Amino acid sequence: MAGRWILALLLWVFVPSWVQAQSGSALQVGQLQVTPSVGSMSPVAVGHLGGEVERRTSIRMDSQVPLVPLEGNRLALFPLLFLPVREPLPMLGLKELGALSEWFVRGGMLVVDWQGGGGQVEQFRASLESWVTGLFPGATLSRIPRGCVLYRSFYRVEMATGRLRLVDDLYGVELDGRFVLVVSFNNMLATVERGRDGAFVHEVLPGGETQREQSVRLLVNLVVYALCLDYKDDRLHLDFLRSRRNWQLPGEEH
Amino acid sequence: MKPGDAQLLFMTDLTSPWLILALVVLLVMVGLITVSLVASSGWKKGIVFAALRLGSAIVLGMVLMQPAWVTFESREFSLPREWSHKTVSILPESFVRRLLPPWFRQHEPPERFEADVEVQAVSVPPSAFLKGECPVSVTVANHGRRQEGELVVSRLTEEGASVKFRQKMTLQAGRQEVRLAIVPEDVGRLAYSVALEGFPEDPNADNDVRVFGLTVVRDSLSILHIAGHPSWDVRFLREFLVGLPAAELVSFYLLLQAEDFAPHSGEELALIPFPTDELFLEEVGNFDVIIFQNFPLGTYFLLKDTHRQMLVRFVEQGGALLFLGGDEAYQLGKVEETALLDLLPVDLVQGEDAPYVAAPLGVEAPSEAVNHPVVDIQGADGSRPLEEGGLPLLLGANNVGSLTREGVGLLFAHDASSRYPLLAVRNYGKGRVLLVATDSLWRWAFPPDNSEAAREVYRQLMWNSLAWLSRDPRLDEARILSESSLDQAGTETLVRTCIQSDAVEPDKVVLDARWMSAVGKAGSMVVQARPESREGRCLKFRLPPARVGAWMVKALVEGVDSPLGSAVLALNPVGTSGPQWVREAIAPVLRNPPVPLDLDSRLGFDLENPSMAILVPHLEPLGFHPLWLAVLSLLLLSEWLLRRAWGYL
Repeated sequence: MAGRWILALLLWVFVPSWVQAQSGSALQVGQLQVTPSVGSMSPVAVGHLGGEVERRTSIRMDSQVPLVPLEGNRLALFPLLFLPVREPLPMLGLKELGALSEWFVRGGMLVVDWQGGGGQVEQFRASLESWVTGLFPGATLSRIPRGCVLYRSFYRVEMATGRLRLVDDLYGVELDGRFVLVVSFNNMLATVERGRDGAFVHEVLPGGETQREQSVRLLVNLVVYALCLDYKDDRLHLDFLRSRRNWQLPGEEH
Repeated sequence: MKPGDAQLLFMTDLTSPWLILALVVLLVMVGLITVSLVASSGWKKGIVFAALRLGSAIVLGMVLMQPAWVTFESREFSLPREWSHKTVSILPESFVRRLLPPWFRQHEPPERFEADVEVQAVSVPPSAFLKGECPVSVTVANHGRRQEGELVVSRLTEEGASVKFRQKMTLQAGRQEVRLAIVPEDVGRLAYSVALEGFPEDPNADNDVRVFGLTVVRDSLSILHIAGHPSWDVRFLREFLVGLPAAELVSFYLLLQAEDFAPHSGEELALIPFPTDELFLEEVGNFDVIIFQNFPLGTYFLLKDTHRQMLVRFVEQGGALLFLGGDEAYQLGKVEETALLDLLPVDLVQGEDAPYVAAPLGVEAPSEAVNHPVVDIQGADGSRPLEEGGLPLLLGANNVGSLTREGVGLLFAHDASSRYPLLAVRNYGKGRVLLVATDSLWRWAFPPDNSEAAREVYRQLMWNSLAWLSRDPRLDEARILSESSLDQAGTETLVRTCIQSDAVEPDKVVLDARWMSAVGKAGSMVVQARPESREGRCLKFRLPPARVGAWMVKALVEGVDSPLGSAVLALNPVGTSGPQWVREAIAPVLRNPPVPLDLDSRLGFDLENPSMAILVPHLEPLGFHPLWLAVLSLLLLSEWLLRRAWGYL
């Protein structure tokens, strides 16, 4: 019995506060902080995304969204991380590359959301490919086909959008049949960010609210995909959608 | 005799009549010479001369008896597979030629072995898949000329041996390996026989059959995975299930609930209806395991009582249910108000605590359960993480009340003040139920400290759970083994049964044994044995002698139908094979001091591969050593000098 009291004391002293706060059934996602400047903006948009996911699906979301530094061992506490960036990604040291690479292999998924506009998009892309080369030797950053389960893990979404429409596709890296890195160039997270009054903060161009809804749906899909993987590729589901709803996936012909 | 020992030996057989005659002649000659010398030289001088002659006679006797200094070296001989020995010479040929008769000649083997064909061995993999081809390697030997016959494979059942297939074959002289495949039609422990039939010159049918057991597991596992809410626990379990090489997985995750906000039409969603009638009324029997993960089984609006009744019947008839926890599982689902409560290993009576405990919790394995096959998990370094601790903390657990009388608690979650059943199992009818009262096992699959040990625990725990639920015979709760390495027909069989789970009281375990004949349709014999002795959790049983066939043995708790474990104990013919006869003949010879062994050249039997261990003597012969000549010369010179000194020359 004394052992249990000692254990309890140790738990309260050493268990991180996030563990004490969350329930096992609620999903907590984090925002990756690469350097003090990259990924360090307030994770409020990711928090609002959690609200959208909770309202629209049966997934329970934890309202807390911590900043997760690349250094240290907190990375391994979050299987899904978002990385909003407004400038090209910095070069990573070997230690950081190793930690991130291991996190991917063990089951982590990173969604990188470019928020820097069209001026620096090519520099961002070049820096991202440099990351990919270091993280996944032999792999390349590829366009994710529109028929991929990411576009229909919950909603049926036709293309990638965001606050802007710079690139109509998602890009990513697949590892063992699972997308571990997904990249959006359209500033998706801005489409869910709300002010204190509950109204959306950012205007969506050029498609307005229709485009916003498409962006939110794709974000929801990404979260559902992180939890269910290729569940919607199961034959039973696809057969039903094809036969009862006349679905035709991009690339399929009648 | 041990390797490295040295001793003095006489290579001439001391009981040889030639040697005895020679020694007697020498002694008589020495006696006559002594009398003659005493008479001619007086008493004192005569004795001296006689002693010198006696010394010379002893030297000659030693030469005749061939003393040798022998040391032994243990040597393992690897024999070529086709090696057929004609002569075994323990001593080097050069020594054999110098030895005096008699030397040891082995008797001829009985004539009945000369054209014998026999099944020497059968080799099968540790387990085979249901309805999959299982390779069988049969070693047969033909001690005669080339002859033709059939190889017959039979399944041994309570009704006798049922022939599965026959295969014509031509046996060349010597030993050969025959490869064939059998297709098991049932899951569990099965007994088969391989027999040689119709070989015209075969004089001895005793060794023509060989019985073997085969552990058959499912070729694939049909799994229905239903999740109430997507969560990390769902995701990591799915990743595990999809990665199983032989799993047919059907998944339904409830991605949307009635109260969820819906700025969309149904057509815009990639969701399909949850087909409750199809799953629980029509297709339920096609699944081996049904997994409910954080699913509100008691209150889900599409689920009717008939569906729940079908689940109970599914388990009664041999199906398996795996319940995984979460905030909507068990108590919030009001399962206790349904027929499903009867088959749970817990009572769902929570007391004053909240039904879902959202707090960091440690895990402990009670000592009486650590050997249960579900939680018998060992790390690569020999550690036992479930017992030793160190696994990541769980984030919460369901308070599922107490274990029922039939329930067995294998893991418990605990904080400072409370202890909750975390993993519990029970048998129900012909089926099994396993309950996990948490939704944060994913913390072991994705451990915070990148611990490979925790990931391995997660994988093994999930695999063990599915294997135990689907009655994989490799996860029996009782391990049954024969005490001897080779059971022989006609002798008693000693059976050792070790109970893995401490939840079972060994004293209540009995052995239900059924003998099945390897030949024809002979009736079976049923024996219920009680333990003769007990060592810890292992019991020893004795089964009566039986003819060639197999014992199908089941360990049971008295009064319970579901066995704790089973085994097939093959009863093979008593060793009457040629090679065994040769081995037995050689053995006593090898145990003796070095005696040349000459086996009859007509012996054509192969010795058992792959090796034969014997003590090889290294001889240093002393019989023709120059020392003896020097001693003899000295004796003769001494006599000459004395004769000269005393004036006889």
